[in-house]
Amino acid sequence: MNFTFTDDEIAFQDAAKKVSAEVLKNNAKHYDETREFCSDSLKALGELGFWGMNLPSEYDGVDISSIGMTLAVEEVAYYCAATCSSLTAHFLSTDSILIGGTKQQKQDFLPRCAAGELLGAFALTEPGAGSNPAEMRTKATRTEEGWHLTGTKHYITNGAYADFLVVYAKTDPEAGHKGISAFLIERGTEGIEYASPEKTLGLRGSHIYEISFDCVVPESALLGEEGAGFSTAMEVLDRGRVEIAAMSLGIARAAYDDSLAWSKDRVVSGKPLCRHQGIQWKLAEMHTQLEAAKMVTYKAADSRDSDRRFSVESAVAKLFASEAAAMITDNAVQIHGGYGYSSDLPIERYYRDARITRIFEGTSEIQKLIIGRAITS
Amino acid sequence: MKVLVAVKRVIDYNVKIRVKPDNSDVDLTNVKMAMNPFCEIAVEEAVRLKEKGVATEVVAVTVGPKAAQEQLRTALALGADRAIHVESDERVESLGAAKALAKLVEEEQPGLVILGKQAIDTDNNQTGQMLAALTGLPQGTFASEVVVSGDGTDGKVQVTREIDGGLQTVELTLPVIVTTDLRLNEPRYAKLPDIMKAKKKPLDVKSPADLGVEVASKTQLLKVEPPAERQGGVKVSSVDELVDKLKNEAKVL
Amino acid sequence: MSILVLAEHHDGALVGATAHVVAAAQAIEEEIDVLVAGEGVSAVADAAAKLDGVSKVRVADNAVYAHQLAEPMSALIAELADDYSHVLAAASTTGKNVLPRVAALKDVAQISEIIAVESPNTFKRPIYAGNAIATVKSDDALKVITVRATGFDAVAEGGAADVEAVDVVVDNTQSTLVKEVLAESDRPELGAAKVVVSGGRGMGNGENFKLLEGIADKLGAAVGASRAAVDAGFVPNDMQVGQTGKIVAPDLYIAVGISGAIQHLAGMKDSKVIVAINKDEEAPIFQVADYGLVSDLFEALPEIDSFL
Repeated sequence: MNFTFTDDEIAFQDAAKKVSAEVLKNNAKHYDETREFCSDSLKALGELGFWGMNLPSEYDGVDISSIGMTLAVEEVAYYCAATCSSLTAHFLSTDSILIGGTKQQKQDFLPRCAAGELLGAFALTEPGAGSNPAEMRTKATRTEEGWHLTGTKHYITNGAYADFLVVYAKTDPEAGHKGISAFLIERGTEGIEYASPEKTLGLRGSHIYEISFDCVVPESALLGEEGAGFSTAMEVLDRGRVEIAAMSLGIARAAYDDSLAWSKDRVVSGKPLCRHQGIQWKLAEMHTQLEAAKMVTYKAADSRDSDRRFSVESAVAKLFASEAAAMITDNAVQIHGGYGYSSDLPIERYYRDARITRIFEGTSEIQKLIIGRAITS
Repeated sequence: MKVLVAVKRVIDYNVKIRVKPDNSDVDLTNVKMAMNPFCEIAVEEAVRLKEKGVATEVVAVTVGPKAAQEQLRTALALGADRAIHVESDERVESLGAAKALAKLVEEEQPGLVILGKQAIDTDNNQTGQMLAALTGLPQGTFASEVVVSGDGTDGKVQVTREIDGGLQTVELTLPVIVTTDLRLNEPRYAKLPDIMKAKKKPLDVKSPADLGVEVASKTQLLKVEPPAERQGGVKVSSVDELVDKLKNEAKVL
Repeated sequence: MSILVLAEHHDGALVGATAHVVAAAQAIEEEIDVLVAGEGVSAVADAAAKLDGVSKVRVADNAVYAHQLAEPMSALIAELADDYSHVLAAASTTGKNVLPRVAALKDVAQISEIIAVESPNTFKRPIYAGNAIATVKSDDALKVITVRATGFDAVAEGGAADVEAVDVVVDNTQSTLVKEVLAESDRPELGAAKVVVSGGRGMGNGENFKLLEGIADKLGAAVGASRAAVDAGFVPNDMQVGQTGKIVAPDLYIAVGISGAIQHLAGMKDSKVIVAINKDEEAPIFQVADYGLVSDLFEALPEIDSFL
C-alpha cells in the first residue's frame, strides 16, 4: 500500500488550489447570496483545461489518474461547492459520451468539452424516477424524421446553461433496463423547454432545472448503441460517485479548517475554544471522520483506474464522505455558535452545500443498497 | 533574444508560519510550498516577451533542493522552454544564488535576466542586484514596465521602476538584469494540459561544484523568534468617543 | 574602523530617513561618516553635517551620480568601502537598489532591513513578512546593511561635522535616466508622516478615497492603502502600506475599511497608536488596534471630519 501522491497528482492539486483560492473563492459568496449561475468561475476552470480532467489525451484530455482528478475536484469544492457541482455534472455528460458514444461522437464532442467550449448536462432523473432509473417515462420513438423524444427530466444540473444534454430515454418500454438508450441533444433543438431553476437549499450557484422534451432529433443523436443507455448510466454513476465523495471531502475540509482556526482564535471563559475539552473532542471527531473519508475516497479513485468493477468502492466512498461532510459541517456550525449560523461567515453555506451530497447521484440509502447487495450476494 | 528567468521555491503565501520551538528557524515540516509570487510575475513577463516575439527562448532557473524542481515544472507549464536546476541542500542566500546565476549567465548568454524583486521567506531583496554586480550588467529593479525597444535589435531596454513617491524610467544597455514589482503584470494560471506537457521539456540538473561556485550562506542564523505581539485595545461605541479618546487619552490629536 | 552611511536625498534636500540610519550606526558604536552622492548636493551635505554623531560628511558631487543610479553609485561606494567596517543605507528604494550591488562587488553578504543592533556583527531583522524576527551574524570583514528607518529613533540635529569632497568619478555607459514621475501631493510622504490615514477594500472604489483625503488634510496626514485596495485598482501602488509596500510607524495610524491581513499588519503594527474603523467586528485589524470602532465607514468618516 502506498500513501504518497505522484508528482502529477500534486501538480494538479496545486493548480486547482491556486485558481480556486484566487478566483472561485471570491465569487462563491456572491453566487450563494444572489443565486446567480457560477458562469465566471466555471469559465475560468474551462479555460485552464479542468473541463477535460476526466478525458484521455486522445480527446484532448490530460491523462491524469483518478486520484489526481479527485484531488483537484476536492480543491474546487473547498472554495466553491456550487462550481464544483456544475463541473462534476459536466463530467457525467462527457463520461456518458466517453463510455457509450461512437468514435465519431467522441471526436465531435469531447475535444471541445476539454477545451472549455462545450458544457454538458446529464439528464437521467425524472419526477417519477429518481432512485430507480428503470421507472423512467421519457421515451424515444423512431420515426421517419428521426427519434421523437417526449417526457420530462428534472433536477438537471447546468440544464439551460448546457450546450448539450445527454438524455436517457426508453426506446423499448417493454425491455426494462435494456430498453433504455441515451441521446446527445444540442441546445437550441426545437421542442425543449426549460422551467425556471429550482430554489435550492444549497449549491445556489449551480442551477438545476426541470426540462421537458417534445422534439425530433436525427439518428446520429443516439449515443452509441440502442439499449445500452442503462449500463452506460450505471458506469457513469459509479465514476461520478467518486467525484461526489471528493466534493464532500472538499466542503468538509473547508468547514474543518475554518473551525480549527476559529477555535484557536476565539477566546471563551479566558481561554481559546480549542483548549476546552468539549470542543477539542469535536475537533478530534471531525478530524478522524475527515481522514477516514479521504482514505475511502482515494481508494475508490484508485479502483476506478483499475480494470475491476468498483461499484462497491465508489458507493462506500460516496456514502461515507457525504455523511462525514454532514457531520463535520454540522459541528462546524456548532463550534462557531451564532457566528456559524449567520451568513457573515461561510460556515452555514458549507452546511447547506453539504446536504445534497447525501442525496444526488444516489441517496445514502441507495448506496447502502448497492453495498448491501454486493456483500450478501 | 534569450531570456533567463530565476524562480525560488518558498512557503506558500497563504500559509501562516510557525517558529520552531527551539528558535532555530521557521518550521517548514509538511508545509505547503510554492513559487515565490514575485517570481511568478518574472515568469509571466518572460513568457509575454516570447509571445510578442521579442524573446526567442525562455530558460527557467532555480537554485535549491531537489523538490524545487516542482517550481521549475510550474515555470515550464507556464511557458518556459527549458529549465536548469542548480541543486543544493544548503541554506542558500542571495549572494550564493547570485554567484550560481552569474555562471549560468556566462554559459547561456541571455539578453535579459528577470527575477522577482524579493522572496517572501527571507525578504532580502538582493539577488537581482548582486547578479548585476557579478556580471557587470546594468539593473532595472522593482520594474512596473519593461519595454525592449526595437524588439532588442537596438540593444536598449527601458525599465519603469517603482520608487518611493513615484515612478522612475531608466534606459539600460542590453544585456540587462530586471527584478519585478507587483504591478508589472498579472500572472496567468497554468493550464492542466500544459502541466502534463511540461514533463517532456528538458530540465538540466547541475551542482554548484559543476559551476565552480559555493552557494551556502556564510551569514549565520543565530535565532528566529515570533514577533512581539501587539495587544488589542478597546472598542469605542461612537465617533464622539473615539475623537475624545484620541484627544484626551492617547493625546495624538 | 568606522561606518559609512549613505545619505538619502531628494530634490536637493536630505530625506528624514538618514537621521534614523545614523541612529542605527550609533548603536554599532563606531565613528560615522556620511556619504552624499549626487549632483548639486551641497545643501544636502550641510544638512547631513548637522546630524548628531556624524564625524565627517563626504561629498561626491558629479553629474554621473545625479539620480543616484545603481551602477555608478555602487561603483563609488565599493571604492570607498575599504576604509570602513560597515556601510549602511536606508531600506528605501534607493538603498535597496544600490547596496546589494555594493555587497556583491565586495564579495560579502548584505544584511537587509535591520530593526535592531545586537552587536557590531549581529543584527535583528524581520523575515516572512514580519511573522518572524531573525537574529543574524555576519563574519564578513565588511558589513553591508540596509536599515528599516522605523526601527531606530532619528538622531537630533546639533552637530557640525566637517564636509569634504570625494574626487572619485566613475564611468557610466550602461544606464541613463529617462524620466521620473513623482506623485504630486502637498501631504507628507507616507514614510515620514506623523499621522497616516489608510483605506482598504472596504472603501469600495478610488473615488471614495476623497473621504480619507479630507480628513488627512485636516490632520496633516499622509494617505495610505492596503494591498487589497491597490490590487483592486482603487489607488496607485506607491500608496501601499504593508510588507511589500511601505513600512510605516507614525504616531497615529487610522485604518479604514481594512480587514488587517498579516501582509498589511507587517507594514504598520509599530505605529504608536492604531485606530481601526471597520463594519466587520471580527476583522483581524481590531486585534492590533488601540481603539476600534465597529461602524460603516461611510457614516463614520463624515462624522469624524465634522469633529476636526
